[in-house]
Amino acid sequence: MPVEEFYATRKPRYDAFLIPDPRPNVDDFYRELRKMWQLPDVCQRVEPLAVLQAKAVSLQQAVEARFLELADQWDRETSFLSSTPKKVLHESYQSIMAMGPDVVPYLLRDLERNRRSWFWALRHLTRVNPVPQQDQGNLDKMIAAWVEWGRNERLI
Amino acid sequence: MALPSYRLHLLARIELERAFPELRGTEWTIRSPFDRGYNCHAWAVCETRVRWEPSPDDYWPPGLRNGDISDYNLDNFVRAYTCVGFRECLDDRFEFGFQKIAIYSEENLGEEWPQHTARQTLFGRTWLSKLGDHEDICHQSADHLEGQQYGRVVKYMKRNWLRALMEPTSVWIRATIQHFWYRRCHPLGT
Repeated sequence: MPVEEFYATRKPRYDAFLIPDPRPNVDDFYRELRKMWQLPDVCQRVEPLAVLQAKAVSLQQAVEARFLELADQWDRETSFLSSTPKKVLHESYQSIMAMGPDVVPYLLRDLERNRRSWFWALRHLTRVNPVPQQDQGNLDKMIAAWVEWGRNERLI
Repeated sequence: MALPSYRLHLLARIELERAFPELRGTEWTIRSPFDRGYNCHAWAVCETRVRWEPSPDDYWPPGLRNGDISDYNLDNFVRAYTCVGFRECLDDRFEFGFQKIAIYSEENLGEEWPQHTARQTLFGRTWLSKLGDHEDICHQSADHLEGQQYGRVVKYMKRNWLRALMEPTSVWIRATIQHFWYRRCHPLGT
């Protein structure tokens, strides 16, 4: 019997032992995934949500970086001054104020870490003053009052 | 309570002389660490626990105008120092038995805005100044801090030593002396 004929007669039996292609088929994978979840839209919505989250994080990082840059510049150029009006009218301080209430958590963190005087900005951005009258001027107590307020408001 | 921070002495001197060029070539010394806890107006009345300023965030003698930008004027500062026994005098010449201060100011929007206050040492040979958030320094003359940062001296005031000792701010004179001595002894502070 010729070889070709021999294999032709036995091919079904050998095919049964053929090893399937191990390379994954992406289309089949997503098809199976959709079937399994029974929610075809979910697969399409996961990616935009992740992208949005990543964008929000990068925006926060950009705001923080901008804040730190302005804060350092303000500190460098006004740390010799005692006059609060002159300090808060500085361009960098006004730029920080213009960033709006989003900057409040960074102000509180910087107040706690570097003890820089952000009280004027905090009062105007939050419209509150948690410092008791008897503690006015006492830097440690004022910082403690603002940090406690920030923690109660879940800002830091 | 946060501790004041000690900066490298030479770097502090360079930075301060850059900000106050009149100090160059004169004898002046750094007397304290970097501390944001009090300002020059407080240090002028021997106070190191609070910051003195007519703003809602700082201490200001009770009964005086406080909290508005228009309260930041020379008259209000003179009244505040009057509350702790000072009265106006003509010049910075040493007078035995009196403690003198010099108020620096610059004109903004047609009004004098006080920028700094320096205090004469007990026997009148030198002046003490707290430079914003920076260190306390001891300088030879009140004129040496005049310039771009603080403007010029516009007013001198004095009070007698007895009144200085009787004032509540001077009750802490022992603590002030201790703090001062600690600063002098610190290897980086002098």
